[in-house]
Amino acid sequence: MECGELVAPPRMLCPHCGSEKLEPYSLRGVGELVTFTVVHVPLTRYREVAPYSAGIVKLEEGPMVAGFLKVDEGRLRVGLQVEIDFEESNRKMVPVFKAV
Amino acid sequence: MTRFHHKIHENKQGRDLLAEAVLEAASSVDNGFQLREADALYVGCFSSDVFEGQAHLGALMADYLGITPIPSYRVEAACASGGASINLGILAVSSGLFDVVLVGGVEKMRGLDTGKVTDTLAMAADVSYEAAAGFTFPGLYAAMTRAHFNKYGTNWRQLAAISLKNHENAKKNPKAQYQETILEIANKIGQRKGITFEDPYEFLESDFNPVIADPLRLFDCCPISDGAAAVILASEEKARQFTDTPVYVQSFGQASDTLALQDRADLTSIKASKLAAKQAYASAGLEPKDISFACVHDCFTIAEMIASEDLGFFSPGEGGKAAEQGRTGLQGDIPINPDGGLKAKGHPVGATGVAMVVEVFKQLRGECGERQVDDPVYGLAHNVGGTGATVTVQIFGR
Repeated sequence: MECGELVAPPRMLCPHCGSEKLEPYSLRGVGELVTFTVVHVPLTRYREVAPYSAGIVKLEEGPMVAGFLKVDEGRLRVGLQVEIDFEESNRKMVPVFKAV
Repeated sequence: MTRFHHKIHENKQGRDLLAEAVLEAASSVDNGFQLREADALYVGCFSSDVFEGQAHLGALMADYLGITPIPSYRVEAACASGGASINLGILAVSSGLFDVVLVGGVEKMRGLDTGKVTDTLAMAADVSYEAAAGFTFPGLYAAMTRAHFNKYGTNWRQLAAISLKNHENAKKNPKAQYQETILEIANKIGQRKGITFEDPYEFLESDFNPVIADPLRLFDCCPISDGAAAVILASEEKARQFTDTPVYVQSFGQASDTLALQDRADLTSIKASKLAAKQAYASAGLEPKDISFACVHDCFTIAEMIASEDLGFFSPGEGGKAAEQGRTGLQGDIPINPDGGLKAKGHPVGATGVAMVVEVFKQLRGECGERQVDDPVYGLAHNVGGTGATVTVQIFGR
């Protein structure tokens, strides 16, 4: 937090100023869809849900995060307002965005 | 280099492929070359560990080539493993500590099925925060594609033009995986279903060209290939013993950037490409307009388009139009990927950056036959790792 910049997900070193003094910060989880794709040839562990949509979201606080998109394909567009949720997959929590 | 291919190397291991390439390089030297003359060996390879269960490739190859005890390294920078190996070889010879080095690149991918290959390639991305979030490699480049389309109004037909051109070039390259134009492939496939295609776009827009990650389709993506390539780098004094027509390294550049696409400032350009190119141009005292032809990293059609902008051949946003207008064809203003590129020549991951240098070498010596660029002066090789976390650039000249 030395330079006041945010980074998501958490790291050991700040990519902006190099400081090791980082503190946790809660993000609201709301943002704008910057880009997206519909994946037809999936990673093998996501075979059962293919085809699925994935995108990069610019959270309102600044950082960009990648996640699955639980949005109807017809609604997908750059600029769509989305909100984050987390779902369990292969014993991990993965980010999933829904339209607001 | 070996031929790059998805089937013919079925019974060979990676070590055989690289030995084949190295032996060909050695026997192609005008005044003769003994492998034992090399002072060091650099081997670019992305993942023999996963593809073949074999690590420790540097030592393995020194052994297999019969050139122990020279120092030998395996270099990994995802799809830029080859280019990174070339840069390290250049640094080694430039240092004056080594007179001659062998640089090879190899990947034997076809031992695994497509699903497992997809998983393995995703290791070049941020496994925890990109792949876990569903992104495959085509998915990441598809995300860049959509961002580019959105920002500049580029379109898929312009991407298709790049694929068409690369197949036309590869038809003239006996080392290429595909030696047919897209229209020829289309009619071969169509024949089995009683369909004739007259316009390749008709084929590319059909279900025969399925979507891999929207908006990228099968023919926007480079194939899975086995293959190897090798070059010999030497000091000027040594080079002149080997040949009367050496090709000179004018300069090189390399840069790193965020691993994950979501951490980049701009999704429509690869910053590390711009930086590596800037270094290379500056230390060679050259500008983009001085480059006669370029081998660029077209892992996907969008990557070639973005590279043509990042390397300064066209303004940001203009790469698509330029490709559509034929400006990057063999007879165009700046021939790009005269050998067919990754798309049609193939992309055995670790071999690619080295194979680009093989092509540049041959083009500058006028040895490319039907795909020969007219009287080239400077050639550029551009190799990207992942979505742009590593980029290497080298400029060569006569």
